Amino acid sequence: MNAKTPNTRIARVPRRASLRGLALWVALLATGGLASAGLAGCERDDRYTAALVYSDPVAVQGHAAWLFTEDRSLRLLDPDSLHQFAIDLGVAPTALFAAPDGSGLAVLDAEGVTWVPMQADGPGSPVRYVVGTGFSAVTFNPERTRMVLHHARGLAPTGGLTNLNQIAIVDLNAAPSAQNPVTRSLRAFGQQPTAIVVAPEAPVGAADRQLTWVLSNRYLVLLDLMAPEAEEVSVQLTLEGDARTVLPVQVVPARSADGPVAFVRAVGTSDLYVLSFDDAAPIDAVPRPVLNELPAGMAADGMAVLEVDAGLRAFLVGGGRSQLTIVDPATSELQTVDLEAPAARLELFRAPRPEDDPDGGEGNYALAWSTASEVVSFIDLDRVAQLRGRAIRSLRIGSPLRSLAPLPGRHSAVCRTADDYALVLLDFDDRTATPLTAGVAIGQVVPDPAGGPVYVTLPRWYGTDGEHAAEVVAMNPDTGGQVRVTLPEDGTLLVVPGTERIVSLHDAPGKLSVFDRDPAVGAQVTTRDLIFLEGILNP
Amino acid sequence: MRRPHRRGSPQPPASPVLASRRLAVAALALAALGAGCSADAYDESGAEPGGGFDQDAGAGSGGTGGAGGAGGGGAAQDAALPPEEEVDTLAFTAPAAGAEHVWLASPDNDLVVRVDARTRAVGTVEVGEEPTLVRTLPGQDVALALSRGADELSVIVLNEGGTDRVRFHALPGHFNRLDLDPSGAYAYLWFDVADTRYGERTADQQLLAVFDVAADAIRQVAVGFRPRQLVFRGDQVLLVTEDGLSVVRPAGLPAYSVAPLVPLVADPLARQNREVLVGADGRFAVSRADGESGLTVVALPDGVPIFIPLPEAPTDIDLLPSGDAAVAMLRGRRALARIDLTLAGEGGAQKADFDAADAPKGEADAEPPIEPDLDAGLPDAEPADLGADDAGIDGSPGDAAADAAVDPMPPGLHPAVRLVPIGQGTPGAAVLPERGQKAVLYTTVDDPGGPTVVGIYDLGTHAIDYRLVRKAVDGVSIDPAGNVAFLRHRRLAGSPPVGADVDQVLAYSDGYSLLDLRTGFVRLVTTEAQPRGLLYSSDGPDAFVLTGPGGGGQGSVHRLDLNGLAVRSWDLGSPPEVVGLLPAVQRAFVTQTHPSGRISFLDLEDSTAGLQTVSGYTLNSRIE
Repeated sequence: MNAKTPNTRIARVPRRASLRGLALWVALLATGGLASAGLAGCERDDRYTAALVYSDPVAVQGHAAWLFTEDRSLRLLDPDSLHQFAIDLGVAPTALFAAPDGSGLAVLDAEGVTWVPMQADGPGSPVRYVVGTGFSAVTFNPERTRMVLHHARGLAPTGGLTNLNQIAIVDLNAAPSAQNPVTRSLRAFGQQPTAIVVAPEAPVGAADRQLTWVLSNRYLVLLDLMAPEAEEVSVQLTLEGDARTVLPVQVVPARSADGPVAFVRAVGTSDLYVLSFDDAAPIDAVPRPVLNELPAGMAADGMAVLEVDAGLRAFLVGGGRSQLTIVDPATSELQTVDLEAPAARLELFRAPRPEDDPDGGEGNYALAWSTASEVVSFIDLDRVAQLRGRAIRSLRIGSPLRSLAPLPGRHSAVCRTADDYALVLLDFDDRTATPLTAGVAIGQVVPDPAGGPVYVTLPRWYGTDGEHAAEVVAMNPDTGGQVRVTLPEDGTLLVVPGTERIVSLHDAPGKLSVFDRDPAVGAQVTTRDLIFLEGILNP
Repeated sequence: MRRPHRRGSPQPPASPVLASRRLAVAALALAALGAGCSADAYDESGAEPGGGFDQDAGAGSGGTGGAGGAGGGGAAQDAALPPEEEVDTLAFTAPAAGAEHVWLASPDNDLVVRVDARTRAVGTVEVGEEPTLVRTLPGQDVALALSRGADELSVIVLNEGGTDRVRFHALPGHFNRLDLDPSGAYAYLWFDVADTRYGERTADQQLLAVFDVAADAIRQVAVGFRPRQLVFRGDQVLLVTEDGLSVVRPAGLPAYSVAPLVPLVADPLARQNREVLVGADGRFAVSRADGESGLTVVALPDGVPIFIPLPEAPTDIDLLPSGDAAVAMLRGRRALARIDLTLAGEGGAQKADFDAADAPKGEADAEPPIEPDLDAGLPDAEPADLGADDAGIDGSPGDAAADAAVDPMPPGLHPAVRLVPIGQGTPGAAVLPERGQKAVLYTTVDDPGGPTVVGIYDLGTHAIDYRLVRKAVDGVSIDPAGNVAFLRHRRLAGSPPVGADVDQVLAYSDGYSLLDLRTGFVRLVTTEAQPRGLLYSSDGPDAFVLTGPGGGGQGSVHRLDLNGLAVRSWDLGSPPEVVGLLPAVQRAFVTQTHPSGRISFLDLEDSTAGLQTVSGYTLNSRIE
């Protein structure tokens, strides 16, 4: 691969001018005269005729972002000011990914990736890293200093021959060079990667490492992003000749008292794989793990790993069993605690301990639930090993659930029933389950990550009492109080970090509405049409 | 028959040894399950040396049942042992306990695996094709592995730095058995036809390879035809063969030699398939064949076989810890016969007193016929009263004296034989202790769902104390100290009916009882599946037993405190195979059936500790 000078260009879209231009352009279109009234023979900029093809939006710090494939650009919108930035990428983009911390955007193209860092006042200067081949997925390291480009599972490659086991490692703190990115073809055993998990930077022995797990059916490949050219280590999960499908689906890197460990949950086995690193490998080599295959007693469907008071523990549910299995990686000891009903998922969160708790402070909690059950269990993970059933509170909803989300900072959760016509607010302190029914199938249910309202979209519908407008209900989970925000049409909510407004994206091209994050009664909704055409007539 | 207790490292068997083909096969079945493995079953099973259940009431009587039937009341004694659960293939062979590591062979991967009991770190060593047996030098992390597919012996030494040094030795023949003597100075390799696989080379049926560990050299010894068991006695090794006992003294062996052969019976045609016991002191060997109303004694190493007639074919024979006397169970006569081997095997004058017709054909020492009046000295036995109020079974040891009836020399009976009547129950089997004075008499023919009576037989006074046990028994073992007997129970097949009461549920339950031989107290423990793999600690009052899978679980390991008759159990993640001990690091371990290997450790010094499990040994060898 070769480094290329970025040829991207950022332009702030002048909103007023663009709106005027847009109005004129749309007016001409409406009269049908644009094509036939003498303009047909004129020289026109390609941007006036390019199709408006754009991606689903992603939320990044302070902005919503869209990829426009035909005009090779990236658009960013500030929901608070409705100001836009347009970035000319110079190459046809294929996919857009936001860094998990919202600090930037990765734009894939057929030969590499463009990194767009986000700054306080908007996007920074894009940096393009040329790999020489196209990828379809990006995985960031937790520190957001590196990213791994790879091929997404299930996405059919287009054109030519594709090595599905090829990856590229990009150091975002270093300029593009012959050594950055590093392209690797992983040792393969007949399969392709299904996912990549990057652990936080951590010392292993005497060297700092960034252990990275590439998941494939029946094996894992281990890399060190801090030694990107070091030969990888492959870890088989089955014996030779064992044709079972043992597909690792979840890797949770952690750190025990003895050093780094990784917990691997796999489909097709009732065991939990624990990989630990006892010995320090040379700094330029990938350390070899020691594998321990622990009996989980079930084919686990959900796993959470947490440092609790007693140390690092893995918590497992699944297999149709009404039990929580707790694994101590240091001793390999397993403990099971009975649940009231089978659980398949664990939702981790932190919340204040009850007021009468002598320890006070915050604790680690999990909600255990299953779509096959009407029972939800609230588990004090710090104490469940000692208190067993006394550390678990269960509530019976009365209906199977489709989804459940814990509410950050609270001993409560919001659930959506399987028929989509009701929500249930669970309060584990009061042991109450408050159903909230709707006359229409509920759209999205989005808790505010910052601890604010729960946003519920209700599509436009027709009842016996006439037509109901599309709405967003902002519900206070503490009081149950609701503020209804009427939207001009149905939309998809996008919560953009670092902003004061919520975005609702409507089906019409370029149409969106924004409203206050914590709306008051009668809150104003600002709606824009064809917002992506803003500035199109500007020179 | 009494099998010695299992130990974490090979120990000299302190008890007499039974070596019959029939029982050897039974031992193999047990060992495959990690059950009843004795030092003498070691070679049969591939398991660590150790003890286990004495199940000869089933196995033994199965072979001699004809005699029992002839004696009356013995028809049911042919009841076979409950079928053991067979494990067709194991990814790993039975483990061997080193100092701090457990060693296992992985035949499919040509690897020997070692697991550190403290850190649970796994190491693998590549060895010759198809390692099927691994043994460790006592208390050392030095392992010997027999690669059956390569006819190679690997000697693996774990160095201080954690690295393995391996030496390979080509074997002079094709073998499927590997035994280490109790001192660990010599290893013995031989071929057991009972373990022949289809198409396997069987040419070496009279060859014993002796590996001198210190000299790192192999000697070849020609032995009797088809060896089937190897017995360590002092500085010599006795190989039970179809020709008799081959006696090998490993020290100073030349490169090639022939082992002296001691015939067990005079008739060459009666030498096959005999049940053989060798006293702990190695002075006498006792043997019998199916249906023989008596047993044959030979003084070692160069005696001649002497046939001792008995009133009927015994349903079980055992040797006393001293090795100078035998006990034969005469179920039809409701008696046991005590045979003084010194008098029988060395008393030349007595040799002439026996009826040649009673001796096996061709017996060299047969003398003019004397019809023994075998009933003359045997008082009529009273029917057993199993009522709960029966004074004989209410737990009072003092009741035993009333049953101590011994006729010192009934007319017509061989002077070496004493008969002791059995007053209650119909015990056809005996288990004698390695130490102590209390033996256990029991039967397996009772209703499997009901209670039974066992007798505590005082070897010194001949008193028998009868105790009621809540469930029928199919195997008994006495701890090395001779204080507590472990009784494994039988159960009714199937599941209890709907609405079954507590007693019915008990009848359908597996379990075991701990019988304190000092007080007669019995504690019943029910389990989710049949207990197996009993193991006694070599240096404490602990024992371990495995159960399962069953009852919805994969199985469990029980730790028994033989002083307080207390039981703690731990659930396992996979079906258990073998339980073992690592005394040097105070750990017990349980290997389990798992495709890539699984072992759990228990810290014996930490009463609150749970199991620590490591799995996937072979997968670790595939990390590259």
